[in-house]
Amino acid sequence: MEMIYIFVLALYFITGTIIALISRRIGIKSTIDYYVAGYRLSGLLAAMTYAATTYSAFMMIGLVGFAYATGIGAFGFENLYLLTTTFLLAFFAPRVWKMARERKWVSPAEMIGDLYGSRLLATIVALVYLVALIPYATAQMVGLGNLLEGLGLGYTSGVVLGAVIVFLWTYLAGIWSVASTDAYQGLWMIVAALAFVIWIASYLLPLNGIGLSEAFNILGKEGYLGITDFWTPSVFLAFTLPWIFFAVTNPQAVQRMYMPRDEKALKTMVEYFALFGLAYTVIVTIVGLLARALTITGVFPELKDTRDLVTPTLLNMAPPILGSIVFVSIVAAAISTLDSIILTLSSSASRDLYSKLRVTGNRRGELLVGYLIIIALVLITALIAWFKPGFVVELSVLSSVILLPLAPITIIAWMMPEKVGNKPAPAIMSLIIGSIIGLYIAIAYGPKKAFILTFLGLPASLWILVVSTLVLIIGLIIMDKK
Amino acid sequence: MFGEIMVSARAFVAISILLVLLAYIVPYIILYNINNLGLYVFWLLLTTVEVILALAYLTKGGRGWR
Repeated sequence: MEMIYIFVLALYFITGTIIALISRRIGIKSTIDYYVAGYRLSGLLAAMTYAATTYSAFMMIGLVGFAYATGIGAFGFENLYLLTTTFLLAFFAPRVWKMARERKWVSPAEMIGDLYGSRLLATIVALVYLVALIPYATAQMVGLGNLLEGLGLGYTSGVVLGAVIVFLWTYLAGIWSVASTDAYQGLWMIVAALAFVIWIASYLLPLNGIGLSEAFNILGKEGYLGITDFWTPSVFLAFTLPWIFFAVTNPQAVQRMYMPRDEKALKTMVEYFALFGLAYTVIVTIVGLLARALTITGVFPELKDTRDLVTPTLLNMAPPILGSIVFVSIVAAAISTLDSIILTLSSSASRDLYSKLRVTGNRRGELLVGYLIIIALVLITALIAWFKPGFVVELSVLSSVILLPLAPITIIAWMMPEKVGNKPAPAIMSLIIGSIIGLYIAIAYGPKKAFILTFLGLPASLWILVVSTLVLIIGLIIMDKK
Repeated sequence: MFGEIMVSARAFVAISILLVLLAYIVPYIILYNINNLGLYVFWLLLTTVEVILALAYLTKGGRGWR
């Protein structure tokens, strides 16, 4: 069985590398080409890279387990992300897309710095990205190690393979190779998920004498189709709040708004991403719910306390060819998220931290620094993943919370750029205070507990958002009056 | 795909906020104890409406570009 898995994994790697090599024909002349595709990505590529970047291995491992253990609330949580992201993209992407061209933005930190007229703010934002996203990227690498360890190939080989693929597919043609391999991986992810749910519904359930409607009846009787005890209002708010602002706080998502080649391509990006997200979310949560129905009827082991094992256990029951395709789709989801984050962090580090090059306008130098930073970031994440310190993986859970203070300063700048220009102080204060609160809660209570911690009945993430918004608005009003 | 329907920015924002609020409130007020796929379909329907609305808003030359 392992041979089939290794064969399909090799096929995935070789095909992806060929696609990345073909994308090199585009020709990279500047960092604008390398990081944002010279603002000329097609609608389909833009949509697929947006989808594959935002939907990580969490979907097929974490969300399946979540739906299995906590019922339909898991769908509500992920679905709210999609609903709000569709709104944020439709409302803000056109103006961000226009401004990115006019002002030649490459990195999202550079965008915020430009809107507020402050290089210092751009530098702070770039540092916040690094603090929040290196643990998140490392967690993807740890996931790859665990996946290959489960296959009997060893944890280290998973980390090494992840590092090699990410480096190759990022280095070869920057965003062109990342976007084209993302399209390939996104297609793999959705087709594999669809085949997986069809196999469960049409083979695994009937094999055990359960029809699809009977499975949902069983789930209904056991309360999994309503709000279970896990999803109290404050827990639902704590889980959804950081994610509903994902499109404006995560640099790899923001950067993708710059890239479509024209208005039509931007609309296509939103349209296809939304359709992909809707289909993927439905499929993944149905897999988890059907697995729960199988557990209730006694044909699948109880994995409530080890919910991340639901998908691996189902894969063990699947025909090897299907199991291997789904397995590789999880690898693809991790890689597509990881390489996009690495590329975005590289753009931020080279444009906003290594700023001397921007002043001199040395295009070759900028690209060279970008390549070196990619190598450094891949090595750092692989090394941390290799040592596997628990706190890094735990901290990754909080990445979206740490990035949350970026929501008010980004949204207000997008809505009224003329009002915030040359007023960076309130934004700097808002970002520093919000991030410090997030990090303090993480250190004091531990990242996992911090995520669902409440004060006065409201989750910590809401307090971070409220405090950083108030600091920003009050600061802007005071500066306006001066 | 969804034609040339024009949606004003104000209407788009108002309806989107309403949909988000409904996604948070209705499951806890009305559908919390449901034993069929009603809650699933409800959430799915809200997102489908938002997607259609967003694409109408983004229609070329529509309000989304002003």
